[in-house]
Amino acid sequence: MKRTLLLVDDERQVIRSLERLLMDTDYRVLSALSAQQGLEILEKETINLVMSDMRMPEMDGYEFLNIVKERYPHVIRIMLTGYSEENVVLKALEDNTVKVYLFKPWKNEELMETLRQIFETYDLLNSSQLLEIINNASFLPTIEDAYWEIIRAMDHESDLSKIASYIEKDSAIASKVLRLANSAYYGARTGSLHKAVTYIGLKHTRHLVRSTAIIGFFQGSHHARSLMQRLWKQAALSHRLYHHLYQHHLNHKMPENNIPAALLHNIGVMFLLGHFGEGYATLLLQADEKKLALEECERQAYGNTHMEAGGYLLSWWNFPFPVVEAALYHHAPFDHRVINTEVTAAVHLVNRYSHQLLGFPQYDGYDDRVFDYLGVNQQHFEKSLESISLEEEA
Amino acid sequence: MRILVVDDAPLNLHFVTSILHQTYPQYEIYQCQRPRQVEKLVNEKEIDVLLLDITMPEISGLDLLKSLREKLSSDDLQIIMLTALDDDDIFQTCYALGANDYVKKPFNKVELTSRLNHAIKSIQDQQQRKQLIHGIKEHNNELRRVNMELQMAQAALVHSEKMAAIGQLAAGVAHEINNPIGYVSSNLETLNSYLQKMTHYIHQCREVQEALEKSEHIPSEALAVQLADSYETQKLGIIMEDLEGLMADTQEGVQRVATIVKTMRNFARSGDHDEKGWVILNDLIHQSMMMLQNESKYVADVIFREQDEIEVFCNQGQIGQVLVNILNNAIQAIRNQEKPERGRITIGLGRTEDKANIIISDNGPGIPREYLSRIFDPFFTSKKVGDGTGLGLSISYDIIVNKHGGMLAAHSETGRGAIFDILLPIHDYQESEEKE
Ligand SMILES: Nc1ncnc2c1ncn2[C@@H]1O[C@H](COP(=O)(O)OP(=O)(O)O)[C@@H](O)[C@H]1O
Ligand SMILES: [Mg+2]
Repeated sequence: MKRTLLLVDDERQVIRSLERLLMDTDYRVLSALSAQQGLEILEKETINLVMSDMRMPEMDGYEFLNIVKERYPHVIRIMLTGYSEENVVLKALEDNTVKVYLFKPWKNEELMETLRQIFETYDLLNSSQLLEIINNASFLPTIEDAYWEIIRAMDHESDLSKIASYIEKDSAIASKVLRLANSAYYGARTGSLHKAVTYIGLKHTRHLVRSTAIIGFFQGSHHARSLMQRLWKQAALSHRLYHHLYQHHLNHKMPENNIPAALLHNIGVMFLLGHFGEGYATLLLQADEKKLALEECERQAYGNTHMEAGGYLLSWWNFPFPVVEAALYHHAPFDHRVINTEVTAAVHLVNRYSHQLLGFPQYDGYDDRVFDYLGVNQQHFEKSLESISLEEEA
Repeated sequence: MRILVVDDAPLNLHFVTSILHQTYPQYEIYQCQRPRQVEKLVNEKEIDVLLLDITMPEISGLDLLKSLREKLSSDDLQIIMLTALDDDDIFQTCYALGANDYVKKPFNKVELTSRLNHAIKSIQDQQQRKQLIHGIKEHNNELRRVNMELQMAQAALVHSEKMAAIGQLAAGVAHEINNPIGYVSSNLETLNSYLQKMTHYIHQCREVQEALEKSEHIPSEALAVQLADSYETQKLGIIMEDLEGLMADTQEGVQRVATIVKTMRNFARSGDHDEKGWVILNDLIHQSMMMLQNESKYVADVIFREQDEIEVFCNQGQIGQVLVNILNNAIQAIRNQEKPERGRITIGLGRTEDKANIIISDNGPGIPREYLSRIFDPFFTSKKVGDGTGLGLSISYDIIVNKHGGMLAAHSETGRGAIFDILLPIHDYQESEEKE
């Protein structure tokens, strides 16, 4: 079926140049010269992807795409903007108002490539088999509700001490947040949640609370407690290694949107364990015993993998797109569909070493190109891991 | 205090110095019997008071007096003559040659010390005065330095306000430029792909042409179908139809970028120097509006009621800065009141015999009465930290009033918008002042 794109920009010339570019493709292209006009088209037509300008009269692109997100959550949202304000960019990515940003001036080929990539990723996420699994997961709605409750509380509250006391009500989440905050990379070193939260700041707290809330719910399920415990250890260590990587081996800061990428990259495993229970636990153990790639076993048993499941859930819960990609492609960081390769490469790396350090086997194979891609020396990196204490994961 | 006693008679010398030692134990006392050495001693020891005998062999005291006074004034050296003579003429001569006093032999201790005290006092006075003068000079230098630093700080502030304004505008201007560059570059890439398709088609035409030339027995029908096919698959019809629009859009885009860049350059360049030249105010107003277009676009209509062209002798960058300041204030004021309806800013331009008049009015929130007297003060701002520096209008005032001899006034009431009224002399005001 032909995919339909909706272009929104208050400058006719911009629209025309994009129409020219897309003329020769299989996309059906509709266009609007204002957000209002765009919303009218969305009401009448089935749209797959919206690409909008930021600065427009009356309603700006951020507001417009936010409405699209509320009313048509399945429509993919992209911003194409010449506006150089970084804050808006970050905010829109962070709250998943846009999946991907493109800047004017753009390169035709790059723009086309991004469209291809994002469509293919969503094809993957929307496979009917996966949807069936997810729809049958009866415990998901409970997670959903509780998760949203926390997010709402967090989003409407900017007073850190109130947030802390709110988190404290849930002792499972509180202890997890505290443990993460106390890890060397936040350096909070305190027994008080309030202090820890003040130390690491609002943004990091939000990310940690959201992520641990989700993990916490899976952990609460009755299945395979020891396996769940192991998954949590691996997630928490990945998160620490991720910080370690950015702090000591990469020459730039961790993008704030990507904070939960490592912590949540294996959320799909937890989901499958929660959903299939003993069946999946057995599959995990068998993969270990027979030294098989987990990915293959999953595909044979369910037709889908934990990567796809994780990516789907994170996308559904409005995590920033790079976090979704990290879950989806952490086994294949250089997949042609990947847009934020730095994140998938970094998560691939920390996934590998967190398994190694904890002595958990994994047979999915590793891609050594990530070192070159990230500009990290493998020997140096491995040597530096000696300083990582594993006690915190105990 | 250094005192030198000169006498060829050892007894006298001894008598006087011993009195001096007794009376002034804190001072340095020197003595000298040989007149030839006196000048050297005075210099070397930096003598303040000299007691000088008149009748001496080789050089007389009077000669010495004369020669010393050629170099040193009473401010630096007090000279008291010692003499046994009792001849009014001699005293007359002494004073004429620059002696400050005299003491008659045989010496009377009281007289000697009282004369000396007087001499010492006047040297001390002199020294104090010198110190005072020196102090004042230092003070003056200090003031001059502070003043210079202040001037530099002011220049830096003025510059930073301009930079802040430009920086604030830069984000907007970047947007203004990125839009046209966006579609221009995309169009060019598209044009490239069009070109490939057209080249392909032209090659085919060429082949057909050559085939036709070679033989007469070719199935022309088939060739025509082939070409038509190619025309169709390459979408040449659509391309041909689009080309004109593509070129028009692209040219318009390039033109837009060129105008923006030119405007920016005009503003960034000349403002810092005080060079003036003939400037058409109409153009300057258009350029300022352009600079702010991205700020105003979604906030207010900016209308220039343009009549005749008016040319004024001024500094283009500076006057441009004033216009941008005032317009930007109006836009910010309208934006900050967060009303749904668009605002309106009107610019009027007129002239009298020797002055140009620019009036910029807006229908924003206006300026409260209690602010009105302070808006031209440096650092007065009603805006949030980061939004306003409070320097815009004070710099504008300096430019219009001090640098151009014009006038700048604001009229406003809460709720009724604001009017800024600029009067600029048409001719160089400094030149016309000089004539008067
Ligand atoms: N058109 C206007 N409408 C309302 N208030 C104005 C207007 N122009 C200037 N003002 C007031 O004058 C103040 C000083 O302006 P200015 O010197 O340009 O500094 P700034 O814009 O950085 O605050 C502003 O903060 C604002 O309160
Ligand atoms: Mg201002």
